[in-house]
Amino acid sequence: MAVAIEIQGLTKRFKSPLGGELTAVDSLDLEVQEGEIFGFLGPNGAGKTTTIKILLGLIFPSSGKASVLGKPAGDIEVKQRISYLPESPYFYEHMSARELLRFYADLFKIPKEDRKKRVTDLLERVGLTDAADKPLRHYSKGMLQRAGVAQALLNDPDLIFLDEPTSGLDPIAHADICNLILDLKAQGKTVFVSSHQLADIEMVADRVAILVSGKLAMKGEVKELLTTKQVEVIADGVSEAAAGEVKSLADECELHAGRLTAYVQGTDTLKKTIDLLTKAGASLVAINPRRRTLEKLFVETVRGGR
Amino acid sequence: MVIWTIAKTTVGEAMRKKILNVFLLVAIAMIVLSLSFTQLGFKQDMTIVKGLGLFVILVAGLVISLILCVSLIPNEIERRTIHTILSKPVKRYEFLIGKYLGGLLTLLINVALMGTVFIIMVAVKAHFSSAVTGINPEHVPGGAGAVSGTIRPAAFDPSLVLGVILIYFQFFLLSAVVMLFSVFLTPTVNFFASAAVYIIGSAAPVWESLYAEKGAAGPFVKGFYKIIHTIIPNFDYFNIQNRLIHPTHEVRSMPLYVTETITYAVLFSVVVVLIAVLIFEKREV
Repeated sequence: MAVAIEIQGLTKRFKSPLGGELTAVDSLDLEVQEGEIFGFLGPNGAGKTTTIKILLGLIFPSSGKASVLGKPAGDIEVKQRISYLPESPYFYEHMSARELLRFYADLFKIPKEDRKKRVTDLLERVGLTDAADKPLRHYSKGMLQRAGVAQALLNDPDLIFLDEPTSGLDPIAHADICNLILDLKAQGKTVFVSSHQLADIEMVADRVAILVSGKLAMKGEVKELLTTKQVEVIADGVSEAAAGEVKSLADECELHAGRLTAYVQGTDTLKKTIDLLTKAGASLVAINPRRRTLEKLFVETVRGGR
Repeated sequence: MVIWTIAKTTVGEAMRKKILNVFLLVAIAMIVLSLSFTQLGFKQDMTIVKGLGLFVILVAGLVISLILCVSLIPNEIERRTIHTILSKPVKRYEFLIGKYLGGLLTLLINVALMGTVFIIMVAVKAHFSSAVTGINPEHVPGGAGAVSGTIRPAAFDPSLVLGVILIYFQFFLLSAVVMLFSVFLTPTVNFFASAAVYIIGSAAPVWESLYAEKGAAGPFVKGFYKIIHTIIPNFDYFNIQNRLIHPTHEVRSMPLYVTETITYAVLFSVVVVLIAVLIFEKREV
């Protein structure tokens, strides 16, 4: 699989007028493969948007390299094959969604004969057909986001940058955006998505990277990162005495109204726990491999990285 | 094509700016109201109509060009509309020139509207003055051409059109300076800096006389005057109102003068916009 984005030792420092300096991105190394959904995570001010802006050629790195689809970041030919949905997109408010899409289609130099059909199709795809001729100043946040998505799909891009695509959206619009990301993956597109909606990223992303204070704190495949060595054992009708014995074997153990939830590691420990509970007359409800949530991993990583 | 697309959008947005429309309407109202000067003789009334009209177009155009152009680039950055544009296959120079061209087209529309109303008002004044006084303005110094009973093409004074054209090209040049400043200054600072350039540039003959005068100042002071005179555009070239209002003043070939002045405006603007492009290439947005 080819590399869609390659970042090597990328550093971005901002200088203040008083001579101070802020390092927004610090020696970042990252690779994003073609066709994957890459979740780019981090708390506010971690350097996510700065990195995206460097990849788009809007700002320039202080040091290091960044390439997009095999060309240096900001290359004008590559911009024909990528697109960008900024956080809370701002557009010319006097325009309607149809006019806006025509405007961006002209920037992409889409021939006029294709433009009309593409604009009409996209307006339908994002559910703005009925409001297509209303000025954008009368649009809700969700509708603006839909218009933003439509402009990002105009050129049928190979790589899409989405910066907080679901922030502030209602559940329907939220679900639509998640489905859209999955559709893009099914079409073989690469999606680079920055978001605080960790449940969304957990659901759609193949790989994630967590940025803390401009530095890469963690990266890897979502499945691997969220899988733990622990097994969750749930049993009903457990006595205090039996729970006490399980507690000595388990990493974590809780007993509420006769229901025991324990997390154990290793096949032997699991077998001993099951035997102990069976002998104590408890009924086993579930035995599952324990999976962390991305939110938990994120919180641990960010707290550990600070 | 990209430049034209950006220019069209800039015009569409600028023409909806209420503050600019208010200035335009007030200016047009003042030009129309200049007709009410009927207390003096024909020559004096015509002088007032022409003088006031050209002055109003100049001041309104100046305010409109400053207010419009100081915000063309900073607004795009502040509202982040520039992000979705420059992330597309748009070169930075295409964006900047598109914005400049859009500003020029908006100014052209504004000056053309004011100029058209002004020329009509001068013709109306010539028509009604001749009807009331029986004086044929063609025989009066400063008259608007042959008028006899109805508004005819003869009431149309082409030199006034040239005057309006020169006012426009004055803003053509000023807008280039404003665009250059807008690449690195805030709109407020840009407004005052550009206004200062305009004032200094309009006083070009003063600087010229200061460095040309023998023994008046030391070489460093003279050098300073010379630098100012060279790097700041000479807006005085465009101020031909007096020659238009008082045609008895000696003027060499008007079409030649206008052509030279327009060429000066275009060449100076090209250089200024090129500098703006070079700075904008490195500007982080």
